[in-house]
Amino acid sequence: MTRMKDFNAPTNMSRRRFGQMLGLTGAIAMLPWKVEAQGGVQTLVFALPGLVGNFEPHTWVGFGDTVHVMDTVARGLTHMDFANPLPRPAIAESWTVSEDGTVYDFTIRDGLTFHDGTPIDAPAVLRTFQRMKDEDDPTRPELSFALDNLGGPNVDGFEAPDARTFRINLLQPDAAILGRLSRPDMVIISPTALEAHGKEIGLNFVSCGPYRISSVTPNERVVLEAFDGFYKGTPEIQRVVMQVIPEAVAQMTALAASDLNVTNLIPHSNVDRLEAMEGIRIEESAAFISAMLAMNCEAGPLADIRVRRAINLGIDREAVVREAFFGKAEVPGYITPAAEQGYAPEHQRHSEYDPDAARALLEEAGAMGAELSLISENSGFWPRLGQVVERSLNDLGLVVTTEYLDGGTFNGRLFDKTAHELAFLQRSAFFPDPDGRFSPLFQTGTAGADQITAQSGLPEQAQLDAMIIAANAEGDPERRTQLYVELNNFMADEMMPVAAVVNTFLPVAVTADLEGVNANALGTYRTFLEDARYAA
Amino acid sequence: MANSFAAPPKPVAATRRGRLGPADVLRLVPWVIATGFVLAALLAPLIAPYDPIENVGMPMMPLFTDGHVLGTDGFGRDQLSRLLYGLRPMLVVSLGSVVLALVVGGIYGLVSGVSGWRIDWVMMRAVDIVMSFPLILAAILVLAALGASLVNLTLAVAVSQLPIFARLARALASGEAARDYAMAARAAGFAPIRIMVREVAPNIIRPLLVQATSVVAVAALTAAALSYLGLGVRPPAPDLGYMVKEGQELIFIAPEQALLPGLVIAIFALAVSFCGDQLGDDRAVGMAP
Amino acid sequence: MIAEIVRRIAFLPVTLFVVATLVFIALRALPGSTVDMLSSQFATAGLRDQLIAQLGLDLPLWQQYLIYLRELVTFDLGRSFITGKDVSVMVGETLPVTIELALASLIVMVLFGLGAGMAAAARPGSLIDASLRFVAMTLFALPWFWFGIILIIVFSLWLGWLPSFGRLPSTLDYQPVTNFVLVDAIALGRPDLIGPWLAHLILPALTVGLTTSGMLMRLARSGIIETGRLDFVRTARMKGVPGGRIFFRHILRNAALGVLTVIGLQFGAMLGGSVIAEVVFGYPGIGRMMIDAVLTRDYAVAQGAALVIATLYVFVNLATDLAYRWADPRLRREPGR
Repeated sequence: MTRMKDFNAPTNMSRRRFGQMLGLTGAIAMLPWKVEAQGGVQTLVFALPGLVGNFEPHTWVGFGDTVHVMDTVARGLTHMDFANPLPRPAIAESWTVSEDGTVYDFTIRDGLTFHDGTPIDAPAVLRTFQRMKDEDDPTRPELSFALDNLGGPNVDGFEAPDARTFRINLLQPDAAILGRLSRPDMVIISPTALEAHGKEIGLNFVSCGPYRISSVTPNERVVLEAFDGFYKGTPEIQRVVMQVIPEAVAQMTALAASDLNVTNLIPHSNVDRLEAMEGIRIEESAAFISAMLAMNCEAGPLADIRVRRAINLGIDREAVVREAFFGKAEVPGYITPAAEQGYAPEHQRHSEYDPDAARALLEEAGAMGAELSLISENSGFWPRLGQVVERSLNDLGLVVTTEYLDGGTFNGRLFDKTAHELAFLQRSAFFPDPDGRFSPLFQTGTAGADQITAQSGLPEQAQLDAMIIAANAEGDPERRTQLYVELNNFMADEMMPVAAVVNTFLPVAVTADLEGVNANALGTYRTFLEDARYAA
Repeated sequence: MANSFAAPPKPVAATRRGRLGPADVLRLVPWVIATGFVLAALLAPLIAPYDPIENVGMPMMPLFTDGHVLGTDGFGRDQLSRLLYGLRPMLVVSLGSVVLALVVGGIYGLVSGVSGWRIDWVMMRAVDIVMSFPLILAAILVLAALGASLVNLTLAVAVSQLPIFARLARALASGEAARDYAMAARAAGFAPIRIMVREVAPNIIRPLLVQATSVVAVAALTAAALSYLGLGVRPPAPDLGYMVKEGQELIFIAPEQALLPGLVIAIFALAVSFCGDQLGDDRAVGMAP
Repeated sequence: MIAEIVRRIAFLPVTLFVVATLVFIALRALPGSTVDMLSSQFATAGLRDQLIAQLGLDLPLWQQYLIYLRELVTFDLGRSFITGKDVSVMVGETLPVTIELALASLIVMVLFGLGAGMAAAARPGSLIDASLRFVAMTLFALPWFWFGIILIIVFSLWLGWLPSFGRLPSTLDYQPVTNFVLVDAIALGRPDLIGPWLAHLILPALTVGLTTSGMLMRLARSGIIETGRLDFVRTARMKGVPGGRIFFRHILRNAALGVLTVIGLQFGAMLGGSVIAEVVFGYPGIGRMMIDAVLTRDYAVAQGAALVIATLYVFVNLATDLAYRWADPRLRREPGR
C-alpha cells in the first residue's frame, strides 16, 4: 500500500499565523469537541453529497449517494476491504472454482437473516441474481445495468443446486468476478421485500448489511441503526446518520463543531489545515482515483503517435500535484495506480516530464503550434486540473483551449469521437482489481476505446484486446499481476491513447476519537462503517 | 413614531442648490467610485503589476507579501492583478446586458404601448410568460446550449432584465400615447410608426435610462452569481464571481481569496445603486427640470 | 375583478403550454443526453442503443413531444430517468422546502424592508434616514452566495449559535409526511421539531431576505414620503386628523402599491428556487433539483420543476394584483384594465 508523501507548502506557517490573526483558529479551538450522544445512543454522522432516496441497486450507475448508503445497509457474496487485493467472504463463507475457471460455487453462510427476518439461503441469493438476468422478471426495474457490471454476456446463468450452494456459470474465465461480486450493485436483496414491493424495492430497501434503514428523508438524511444479525457481529456504534452536506464550507464548519464525524468530501486544499486542528484527524488513504487525459486517436494531429507522446511528456505532473491538489496526490505510473496489482515502479517512465523531448517530437511531427481543444467538467477538481494541464501544454508550443462543461454536455461530447480532441477521464476503484481499468474502458466495443480515445482503429488494438482477455483469464495471482504490468507497458509504448495525469484519493476526515474507519475504501467512494467505534 | 409623519416634510434638496455642501460631496462619492472601477478596468494592463493568468510566485502567498500586495492564489497567480482584470468581465456583462435589455425591451414595450389593446394584451401576456419562466433555468439553458462565454453570459443576463424594461416602456408609452400631443398627431393623420418614433419615444427615454442605471447593480450581481455557478468566463481568465467560488474552499486558510473579490462586487454594486438612486430621487423629488 | 381573475386563470394553461414547450425544446437542444449520463464510461454501443430505446429517445422528436403533452394533460409529470422516482413525488419532496424557505425569507424581507423604510421615511434627510438607506443599499448590493458564506463563518463557526446546513439536526429522527416540517410537527405531535427547524431556517432566510429587502426599503421609504406630500394628506392634516391615523389609513395604504408589487415579484422569484442559497446552505429545495436535472439531462424532472414553478409564479402574480386592487380603490372601480 502506498503512503502519501507530505507536501508542505513553504508558506504554510505564515498562513496559519494569518488565520490566528483573524481569530479563526482561536474560535475553532474553543468549540466543544464532544461526541453526539442522544439518550446514550452512540451516533456517527457521515456527510453525503446528495440523497435521491431510491436505493435500487440494479439501476445504479456509479458515485452519488447510493454507494454510501448501499455499502452500509447491504452486502453481497464477497467483500473487499481495500487493504489488499483479496476478496473476502461475506454472505458466502467460502467458494470453489472449477478447473477451467468458468463455474463458481459459493457456500452461503448458515443461519443469517435479512433485516426483515427472512432467512438468507441459496434460493434467496438466486432470486436477486435472476432479477439481473431475467428480462421478464416482474420486479426488474427498467434500465437494469447490474448484469453488465458482472460481466454481461459472459455470464451464462445462475443456479442454486442446494439450499446452501449458489452457482455462477461463466462462458469465459473471469478472474475478476470475485471482486465484481463485492460491488455495491451486487448486494443480496430480501426476497420477501422484493415480493412485496417489486419494482419499488429501492424505496423500501431491505438487505443484510451492518446497518438497517430506520428513516429516509430524501435530499436530507437517512438514519440507520445497527443490525444485530450482521455476519461480522453487531456494529459497536448503534446509530449512523448520513446527512446531506453538499458544500465544502458547511462540511468543514460541521466537522469543526462535531456535528459531523466522518467525511470524504473535504477539498484537498484543506487537508493540512484540518489536520492542524485539535479534535480532527485526517486518515491516510491510498490513491485509487486516477485522472487521465484521453487523446482522440482519430482527431487531427492526435492521429500521430508522436504528438500523443509529446503531450504525455509535456504534462508537468509535479505542478498538477502541487497546484491542483495542494500536494495531496501522486505522480502516476501509467493506467494502474501504485495501490493496485499490476503496477510496477518501471511504469513511472510513462509519466516522465521532459518538455524538451516533447518539443522535439512536436517539431518532428510538424505539429508545433497545433491548435487542440480539451474538454473538462466544470465541477470538482477538474477546473484546477484543466488550468495546469492547459498551461503545461501551451508551454510546449501547442495552442490548447480548454472548455469547462456541465456534466451533460461533457459526457455527450466525450462519447462522440467527432466532438472532442483531448478530454479528461476519471477512473476510481469500486473494487481493487486491475481488470477494472482495462476491459471496461480500452477493449474494442466499449465507449472508451471506440469513442473516447478512438483507439479501436489503431493497428495495435487487436493485440491489446487479446492481452486484456488473457490477463483477466489468468487465475494465478502472480502471473496475472505480471500480465497487467506488461499491459500497461504495451499500451503506453505502442499506442499511447491516454496520458496518465495524476492519482489521488478523497481526503477522509474524522473526529479524533473515532477509530476503525476504513480510509482506503472511503478514499475511493466505498463506505464501510461497521468497524468504526469511539475510543473509550 | 407615527406622529412624526404628520409633520410637514422638510424641503431637503432645494435649500442647498447652488452651494456645494458636505452632502453634495457625499453624493459625488458613488460616482467617483463607479468611475474609478471603470478606469481601473480599462487601464488594467497598465496598472496591474503582473499578467493575471501567469504563475508569477509561489502558490498561496499571504497578503502584503513583497511584490504581491494581495498575495497569490492556489496556482501562484497575483491576486491584485486578477482582481483588476476581473473587473472587466463584470463591467462588460453588467453594462452590456443592461444596454441590450434596454434597447430590446424598450422597443418592445413602446410597440406594445402604442398598439391597440389586442396586440398590447398579447404582447404583455408574452412578457408574463417570460417572467414566469424561472430565471436561473433560463440562464443555465442559454449557457449550456451556447457554451459559457462572455457574450453568452451577457445574453443570459439581458434576458433576465428584458421584462423590466418591456413593462416600464409599455406603461410609459401607453400613458404618453393617450396624451394630447400624440392624439393630435394621430388626428393629423401621421403614421403610427412616426408617432412612435418622433413623438412618444423621446418622452420615455429618460425614465428608461434612470431605470437602466438602477438595474446595472442587479445585472452585475446576476452575472456574478452565474459565474459563481461556473457559467461565466473560461478559466484561467480572471472573473470575480468565479474567484469567490475558487477561493471559497480556502476560507479557513486564506479567507481573503474569497472575501476580496466578493467585496469588490459588492462595492461596485453599491456604488452604481447609489448613482441610480440619485437619478431616481431627482425624478421623484422633482428637482431636475 | 372576478372577470379578471377568471381571465388570468383561463390564461394559465397557455402559459404552462408555452413554458412546457420552451423547456422541452431547450433541453433537447442541449448537447448530451440522459443516456450519456446513465451509461457512464462502461457502456458498449449495444447497451447504449438499448438504453435509448428503453427511454423512448429513439422516437422522432415531435413524437416524443406529443407523448409528453399527452402525459401533461393527464397531470402525469413522468418519471425521472436518473432517480427512478416519479417526478410528482420528487416535486412533493422539494417544493415544500422551497416554500418554507421562501415564506421565511419573505418575512425577513418584509419586516426589515418595511420597518427600515418606515423608520427612514419618518425623518427624511436625517442621520437615521441616511444610515438606514446606506444599510439597505449595502444589503441589496451584496452577492448572495458571498453573504451566505460570511453568515456561516460568523454565526456558525465563530459564534457557534446557528447551524450552517440542512433543515434539521442529525440527532433528530424525522420521517416526513407532508414535507412541511411545521405541518408535520403539528400533525404528528412532534413539537420537538419546531425549534431546530427554525434554527436551521434562520441563516438561509436571512441571506435571501436581507439581500432582497434593500429594494423594498427604498420603495417603502419613497412611497411614504411622496404620499405624505399629496394633497389629500395635507387636507387631512389640516383638518386635524391624528397623525397615526393619517399614517395608517392614508399614507401606508397608498404607499402599499409599489411595495406590494415588489413583494410579489420577489416572492415569485424566491419560489423559483433560491438556487444559490439552496446550494450554499445545502437546503434541499426545488431550485437545486431543477438545476441538477438540467445538468444530468433528466428531462422529466427539469420539465416538471419548471412547470410547477411557473404555476406558482402565476398564482403569486395574480394574488399580488388582487392585493394591489384592494389597496387602491381607484383601480377597483376602473372596469377591466
